Amino acid sequence: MACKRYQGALSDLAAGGPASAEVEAHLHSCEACRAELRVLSRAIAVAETELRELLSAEPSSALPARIRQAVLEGNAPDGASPLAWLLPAAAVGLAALAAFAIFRSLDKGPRPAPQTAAGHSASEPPSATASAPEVRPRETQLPGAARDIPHNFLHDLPRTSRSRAASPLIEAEVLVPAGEREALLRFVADLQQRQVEPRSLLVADVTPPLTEPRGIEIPSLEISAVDSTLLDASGASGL
Amino acid sequence: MVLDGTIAAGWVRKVSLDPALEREFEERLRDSSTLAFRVALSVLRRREDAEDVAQEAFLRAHRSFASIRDRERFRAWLVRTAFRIALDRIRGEKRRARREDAVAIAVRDHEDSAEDHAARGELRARVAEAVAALPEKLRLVTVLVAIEEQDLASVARLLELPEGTVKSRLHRARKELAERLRWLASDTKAR
Repeated sequence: MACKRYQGALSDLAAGGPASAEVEAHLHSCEACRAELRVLSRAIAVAETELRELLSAEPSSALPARIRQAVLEGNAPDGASPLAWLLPAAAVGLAALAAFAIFRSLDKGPRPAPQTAAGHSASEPPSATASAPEVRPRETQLPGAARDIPHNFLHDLPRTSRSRAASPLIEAEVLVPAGEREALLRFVADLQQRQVEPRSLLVADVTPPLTEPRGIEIPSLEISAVDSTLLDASGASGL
Repeated sequence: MVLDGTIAAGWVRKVSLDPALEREFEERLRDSSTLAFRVALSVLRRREDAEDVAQEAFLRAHRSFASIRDRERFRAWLVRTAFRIALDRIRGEKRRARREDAVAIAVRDHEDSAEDHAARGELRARVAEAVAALPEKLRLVTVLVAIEEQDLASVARLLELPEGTVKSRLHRARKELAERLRWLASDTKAR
């Protein structure tokens, strides 16, 4: 076993470094350190011999021709495409997009599904019902006064609403609060048939006028001395 | 340099050089393909993979040949590129699976007996592992010194470094190798 103090100096020496006078003097007198130096030098020699032998290998004689061909064709070997990063990058991008979409939907929280004028919940896909693709035939399914809605109802809507209703599916969907569907349909029908005067719908200004608050009368306080003898008596008896 | 193709089948950008540059490239291919192969082999230890890396390095060299046409500069660039591609490749492989046959290189072993062959394979694997464990700068110097047969001036040119820096890195690498492989030398006869 070499002397611990000289171990670093020995590997330094084995690697070809200079020996200090102290290390040389120690090596003269220490057989264990001389043996250690031989072992370390042999380790380096073995490593370098093996490495030299490994790296003296010649490539196949076809390699230059193969490279020439690859250059002509512009082909990278398998797995070494210059744009190999593109696919993983696209996957990461899509994953991030999906995560963002999920985060946004969770952020909005669950909401009660309002009913539509067509009678199904908004959470159901409109196409799930057999009659959904057709807009006008749906009229026949509506109850009561709703049947009386004229065909040209949508054509009478303002221009912006019409443009939004370009798709038949969107045209048919009017979200209303639960329980108010029939009332709303009746109201629309009345409006169309002029049974309701639009002017009458204008709500009068019901906001009360601002008035000055009345003054609050606070009675004045009277301050008088307290009879402490009464307190002492009740405190002694009560406690 | 003229781009005569675009990204098409195989994610490929095909580049053609003018005839004078093509002739120079052909010269570099003749005198440096073995260098690229050996640098890659020092990392990958499999001939087929080392040839793939050499091919990829030359393909990249061809794309940028106009700026690296000088012979010394080209060889230095090629060494760095082949080393880097090989490292990237082996890291990718390690992530997928450790292949047990990585140490089985058939280089001039055909005359050995089966026992000797196994012992040599084991020894070579340990040496290769110790070299692979060196920091990259020391590792590249060690490998190039072996490839260039101890010609430190040539290694300095390949690395575009002063010779003193190469010597100092080699010294540190040897010291680390001695300490890592000490156990191996203590029970192995010097060959």
